[in-house]
Amino acid sequence: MDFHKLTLHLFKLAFLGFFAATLMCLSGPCYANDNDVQNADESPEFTRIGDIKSGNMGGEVHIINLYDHQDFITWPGGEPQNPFSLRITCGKCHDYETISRGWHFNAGFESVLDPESGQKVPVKIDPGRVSEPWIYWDCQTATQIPLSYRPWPGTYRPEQLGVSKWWFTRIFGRHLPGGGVSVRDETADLDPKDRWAVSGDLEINCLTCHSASPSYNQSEFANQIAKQNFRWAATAASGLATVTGSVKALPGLWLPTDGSKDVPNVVYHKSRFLPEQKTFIDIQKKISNKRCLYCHSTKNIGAHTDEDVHLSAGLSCVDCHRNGLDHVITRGYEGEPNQPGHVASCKGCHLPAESSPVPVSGRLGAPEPAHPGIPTVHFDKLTCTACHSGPWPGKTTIRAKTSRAHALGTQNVNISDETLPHIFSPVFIPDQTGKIGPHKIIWPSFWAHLKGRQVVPIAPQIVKEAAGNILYHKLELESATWPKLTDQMVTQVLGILASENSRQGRPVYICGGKLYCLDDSGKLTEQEHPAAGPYAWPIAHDVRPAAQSLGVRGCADCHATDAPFFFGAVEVDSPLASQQGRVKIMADFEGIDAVYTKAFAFAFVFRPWLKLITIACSAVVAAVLLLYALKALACLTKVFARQDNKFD
Amino acid sequence: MVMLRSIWTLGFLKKLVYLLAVLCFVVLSITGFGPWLVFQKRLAGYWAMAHVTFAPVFALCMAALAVMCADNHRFDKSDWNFLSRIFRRSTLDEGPVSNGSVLVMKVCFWLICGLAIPLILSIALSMFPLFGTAGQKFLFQLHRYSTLLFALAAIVYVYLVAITQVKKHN
Repeated sequence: MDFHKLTLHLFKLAFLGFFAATLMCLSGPCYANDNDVQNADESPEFTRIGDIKSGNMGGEVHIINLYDHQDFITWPGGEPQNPFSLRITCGKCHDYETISRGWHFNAGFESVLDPESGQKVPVKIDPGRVSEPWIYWDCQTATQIPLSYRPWPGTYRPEQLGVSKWWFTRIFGRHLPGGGVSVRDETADLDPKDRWAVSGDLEINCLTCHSASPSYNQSEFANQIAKQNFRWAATAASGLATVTGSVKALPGLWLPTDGSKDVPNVVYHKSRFLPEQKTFIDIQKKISNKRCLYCHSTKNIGAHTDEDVHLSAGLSCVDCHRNGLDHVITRGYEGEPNQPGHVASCKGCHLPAESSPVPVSGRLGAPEPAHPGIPTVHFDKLTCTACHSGPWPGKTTIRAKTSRAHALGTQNVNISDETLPHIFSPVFIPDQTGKIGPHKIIWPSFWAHLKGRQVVPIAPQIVKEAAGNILYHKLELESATWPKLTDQMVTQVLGILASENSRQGRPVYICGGKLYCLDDSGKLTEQEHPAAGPYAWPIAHDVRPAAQSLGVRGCADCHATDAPFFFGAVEVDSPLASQQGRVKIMADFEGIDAVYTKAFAFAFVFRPWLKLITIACSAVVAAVLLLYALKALACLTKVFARQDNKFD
Repeated sequence: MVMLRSIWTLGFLKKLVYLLAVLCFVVLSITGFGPWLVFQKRLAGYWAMAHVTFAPVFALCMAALAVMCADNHRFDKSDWNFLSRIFRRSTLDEGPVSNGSVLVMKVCFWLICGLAIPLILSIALSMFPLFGTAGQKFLFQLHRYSTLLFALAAIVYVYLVAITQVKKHN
């Protein structure tokens, strides 16, 4: 090849590269690299450029335009300065529709609109293993009740308590990433109490997880939700703008033309913008732990717990809790559907795969546990977390506070350890696989109607209105914990509820693991009912180091006659003054006969003797065997000696 | 007189140990094999507690029987002659010849003693932090299969002892 031809080829290649790069830049606001372009050519047409894995591990720099809800560029010089919409902005390069069905957004996702027929088509989302619910609580009515849009046994749908999707977003949006139930369903009938028209939708806030900016403020996001500024929340949290005003102060039928001093106002920070109306948004594909922990933190009251051992080792949450474009995040429990076996659980990393053609264990440096001296029956009956996760079990359970239940991390939140809801941890309960593992529990407490065996909760507002002055007034309550509820008060409220609407069923009050109702003579009686049982969800973190796992000091960690694993006291939380201070023992929750457990634990007192006796006995038997084996050997030598003598 | 009494005491003790060992063997067999054969479940719960309670007693009996009966069960020339007759079809008079059942009894006795060691140690050692999960599984399998062989040998041995005793009385 001569020099001219080589130059021509190089020129052609450079031209093609330039052409491809130009195409890439025109197709979206993200700056991407050459690998993206190559893959983009091979990928289906509908795949957006931001969703193609280039293979470059360096990550992309997002210098982009921000778009408002009407698809107009919004920037400091624009008029009016609207909040940006991440649905539009991120949707330029990423498939928002696909992402919006991810795990964090799909609770309450029941149907999709079929574009061809215009009809709603039901969608079934696997609820998976039970998890932390949203806990609605109210001191005045002594209510704490687990809510969820997922059909987890023991939870109630928010509508059953009169909480519409808008109100759900208003109450819990502080720790929601937006999307799903936080976006108005155009096809559904709107509740006049809902204020979608003024608050706007709480679209998926991609920055909740993906922002790497130190100025991103999730607490401000929560603050905006409290002000009902749903549409403005992401903008205010981003640190790119300041949002003033509050939708809360506006009437429900307010129109922009009406004007008001309370209208949310956006002021973008000029210093954060670049020429061409662009701004740099610090986006991370690999989510940092603090983004996850804002919503997934636990404070164990009265127990010092170190950081999860995986985080201490340098791993991040998303190393295990992975997802693809669909954002269906691996939750990491055993038997999780649609998850590859080698990544889905503790076993996936820590134990050799049984059926994989290539070695897949030890990922990310996971050590393979030896478990010396632990009979294998433990692995059939216990989850990994039973010994390795959560706070070390004590004589009694401890109270825990979580980000989502106690609004941790938000402004002006009650940081008292007594505040509702009351969560107890760790309680050892069999999970959905039948293995015993540590759980957090709450004791549901609410007013309800009993229809047959079915319990239908009554909205606290209805109870308040019916009860009048029987229950405490808000101002009479000293703190956000249980009021001192007496049997007499419960009797009176149940009496009023019974007289008001008897067709809905028999009024009952559930608390402290019992169902209270009035008998025919109007006397308060208590009974057992499945709905009164505790709602429990598994503890996966914080994982303790191996040296702090249950059993590390020997069998007595769990099999002593007073070991908390079986005989720890679990507080039965009740607002009823007469029921306070009650406890149950752990074995009651484990589904194990308490007498047997005690007898079995007592057997461990003699375990050292057992070891000594059995080893001594086998030594004696071995000695006898050896003795007669030697005698046999002596005979043999004699026989051979005699044969030698014969030959001589 | 003292000699006679001591022999009687020793004989009584031996019988007692035999009976206790047989009782323990029955209980351990039922509790060990029962859950799997009847319910297809692993040994657990009260079955396991009974199993673990009788196991050390049985181990003690095994040690005592090994000490007390080993000498009676040692192989001698009569056994050798019996084997020689069978394998070489010898009809020559080479001295005393053992009874076939006695030889089998002796073999069973030494099998029982030999199998008792892995049987006991497989469980005793698993209680120490020496073996990891793979080792624990191996020990458990060792316990299972040595138990099976042990049980077979013990059944044959007890049967032959019983037959011998009945013959003696008749």
